[in-house]
Amino acid sequence: MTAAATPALELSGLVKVFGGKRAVDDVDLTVPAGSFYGLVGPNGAGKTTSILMAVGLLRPDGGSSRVFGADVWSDPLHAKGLVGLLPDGLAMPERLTGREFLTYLGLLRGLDEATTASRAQELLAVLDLEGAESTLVVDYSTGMRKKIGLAAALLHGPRLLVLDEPFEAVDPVSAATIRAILDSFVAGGGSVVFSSHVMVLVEHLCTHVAIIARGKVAAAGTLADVAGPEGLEHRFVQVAGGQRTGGEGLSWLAS
Amino acid sequence: MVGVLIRMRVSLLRNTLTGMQAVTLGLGAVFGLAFAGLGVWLALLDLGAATGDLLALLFLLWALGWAVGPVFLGGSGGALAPESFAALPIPPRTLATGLLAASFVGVGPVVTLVAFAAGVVYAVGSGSVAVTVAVLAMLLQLLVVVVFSKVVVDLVGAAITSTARAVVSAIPWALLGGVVAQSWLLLPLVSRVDGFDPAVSTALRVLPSGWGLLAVDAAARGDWLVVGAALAGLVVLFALLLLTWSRLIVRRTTRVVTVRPASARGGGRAGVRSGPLRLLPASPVGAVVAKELRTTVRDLNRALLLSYAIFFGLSVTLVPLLVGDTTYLAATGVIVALLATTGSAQLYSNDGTALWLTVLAPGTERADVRGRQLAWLLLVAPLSVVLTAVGLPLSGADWAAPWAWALLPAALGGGAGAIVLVSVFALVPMADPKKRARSAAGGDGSTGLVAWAMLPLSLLTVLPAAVFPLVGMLLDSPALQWAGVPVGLATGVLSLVLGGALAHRRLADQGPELFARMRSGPQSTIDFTGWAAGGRAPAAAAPQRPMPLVKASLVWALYLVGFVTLVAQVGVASVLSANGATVRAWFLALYLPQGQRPAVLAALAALAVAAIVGGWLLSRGHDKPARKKFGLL
Repeated sequence: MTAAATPALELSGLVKVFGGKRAVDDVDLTVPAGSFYGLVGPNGAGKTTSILMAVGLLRPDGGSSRVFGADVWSDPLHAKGLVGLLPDGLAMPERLTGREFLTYLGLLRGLDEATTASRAQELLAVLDLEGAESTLVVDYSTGMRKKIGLAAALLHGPRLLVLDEPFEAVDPVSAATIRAILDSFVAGGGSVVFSSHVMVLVEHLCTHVAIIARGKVAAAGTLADVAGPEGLEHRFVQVAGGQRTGGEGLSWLAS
Repeated sequence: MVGVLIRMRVSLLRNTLTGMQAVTLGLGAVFGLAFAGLGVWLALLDLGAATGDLLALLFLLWALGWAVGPVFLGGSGGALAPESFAALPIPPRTLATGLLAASFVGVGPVVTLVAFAAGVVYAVGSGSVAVTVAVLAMLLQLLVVVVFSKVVVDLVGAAITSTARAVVSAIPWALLGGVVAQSWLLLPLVSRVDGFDPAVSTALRVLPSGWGLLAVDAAARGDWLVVGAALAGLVVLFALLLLTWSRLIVRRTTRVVTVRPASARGGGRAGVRSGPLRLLPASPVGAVVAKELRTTVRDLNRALLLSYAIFFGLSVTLVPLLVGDTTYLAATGVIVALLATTGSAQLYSNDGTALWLTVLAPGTERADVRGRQLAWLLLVAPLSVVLTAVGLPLSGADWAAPWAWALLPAALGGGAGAIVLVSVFALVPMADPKKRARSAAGGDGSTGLVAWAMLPLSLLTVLPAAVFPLVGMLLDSPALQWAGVPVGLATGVLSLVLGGALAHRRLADQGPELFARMRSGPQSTIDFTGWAAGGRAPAAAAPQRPMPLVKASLVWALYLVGFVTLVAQVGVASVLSANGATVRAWFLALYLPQGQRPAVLAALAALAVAAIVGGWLLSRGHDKPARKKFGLL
């Protein structure tokens, strides 16, 4: 198998059970190298759980996850070196400044001092975080947290980026910055998987998309294949089983 | 309004009564009731004038406990936060009254009510009018104590806004802790056969905590002017405190900080590897050390816990100076090193879900654990070495030198091993730093419990180092005594290396599971069936036998009763008995004639060991994950 043919991420038969509920129920997903892959699905569909299992943060009850052919659970050192993760809502070393965080993370990941310093400088500049030089991460705004998280994910030069809700609660300016970086990462040969429930965004950015509902992959493939002629939002509501009502009830609001 | 708030509080209490938190609460109740029972028992004894003095002292301790407890044990965890009601159109005084009423729903107020019942029991001998006055006075006293606690917690919480303030505010509490811990030394100072020293006795009644007893005593004498004044004093004090608290609530609900000023100094482009921290190597371990040192200094919670532990150690050895006892100075360094472990018992939990960074950065677990150990040593070792070097000559106890220098390296190494071991193996999930509501007011009670469980563990690591000085002293051989120093060094290094190795192996093998616990609280069962891929053995394929809450509480209670009996009723009592001390306090054996004491002490020791073994046997029948859920290994 050639390098180009090896998928960036390959999930097969992933299962996770929380207290009798199958949060993730036999998920198969293949993310081709060089693709910009969107995962969409309603809240609680199992997106975050799948992502955490994919990168090696949550041990699955069944199935496997491979990053460029390396099994995340049997060959973690190799696999984890190839991935950069931007998690949603997890803590960071909160009492450090952005630069301190990146510096220590780089040294911890085994980069030398000069490389760490120059990469941290470049990332802070590109992500427009230089102005917050003496602000601790705990005092960052939501958008800044996403950006420093992205910087941490990119620091060691991964080949696959896995992003959990990178645009959630982010202002348009920060979102544009993040988009530009992701675009250039993919243009440079990197692969991106990200979850979102903003359909318009996914339609704009992605080459591939998967709809996850109730712990299963309801549809997956290239954007054109999944979205069909009527658009992704329509297909999503169809697959995820939404009901467009809202006319009834709440009668007291108008009176 | 009040009714709704009380119902909310009941629901909150019911929802938080799970797992470790319920155990902590149950334990607190058991301890509190035991202490409360002691007061009632004292009131029943016929000790003449001394009874009143002792009760006044007890009431003062209760009031102080209400002030100190919530700040360091985070007892306000289940309380309703005024901020939650900020958007509702409720006048502050109504809200204060309602929240206060709701805060009486809970274990603390009930236990305190039992404790204050001692005042009523005390009045029984003085007629029915005195009893009526006592009931009124004790209820007022409870109101005052609870609202006093609210005011203190709010004021302290608001005052601790920087590391420096956190460190300073730890001093009075630590001093208080030292006085309480060494009170059995101080008791002879104030007590005489017929009660306390008159000055002390008066002081205890001038303080508001003694006003209730003052009223009871006055009622017994028929001095109605004093009765009226004392009761009115309590009412006025309560009103003033309630008013203060409603003001504080207004402040809390109208000055919600949404943007905080930049708080790290020395930024700038080259800032990261500047200052003294640049001396650390630019390696993975060096990075972790620097991260830990910066975090400890900037995280109010960690700064507060560590400085409290250090000041507490200091005050334990400095308070005896009041009675002219300098011997403790020799042990200052060792005691500080031992106590400093309690402030660092939850290193991973303190970082919250940031554990994902370590799990995802491949192969960094070892560097992470070693770095944390080194950072702790850098913070504690220099201080405790200096304290030992200075304390030894000042103590005048030349015999103590081999002891101190043997125990110190053992304590430091043992501590560095124990903190990472406990942080990984007895991880009690805490909220993420970003989500901890009030920055300075501790974690929840369960983390406090684990923190103090560090002490016996650390003591265990210094025991081997004590053998040579002891044997050397018995055989009168200085050479043998000093042989303890290399032994202490060796056990210290061994504990450090071994504890760290166990911790980082566990972190590497169970990283995702520890992370899962940080994300979602303790997981009782992890189902690995069907999970065959991967080289690591499934840890728990056998069916789980869950451990009931009642049983876990019973086990903990047995452990604690066992250890307390062993240390206090047998250990301390033997020392007191051997020294012919006249103080009896709560030491059962001392109430017996000298001849019968050894037999009773032996019986108590046997009982204590039986309790501990019994607790251990009780917990054995259950699977490890089920036991771990309750912090039982």
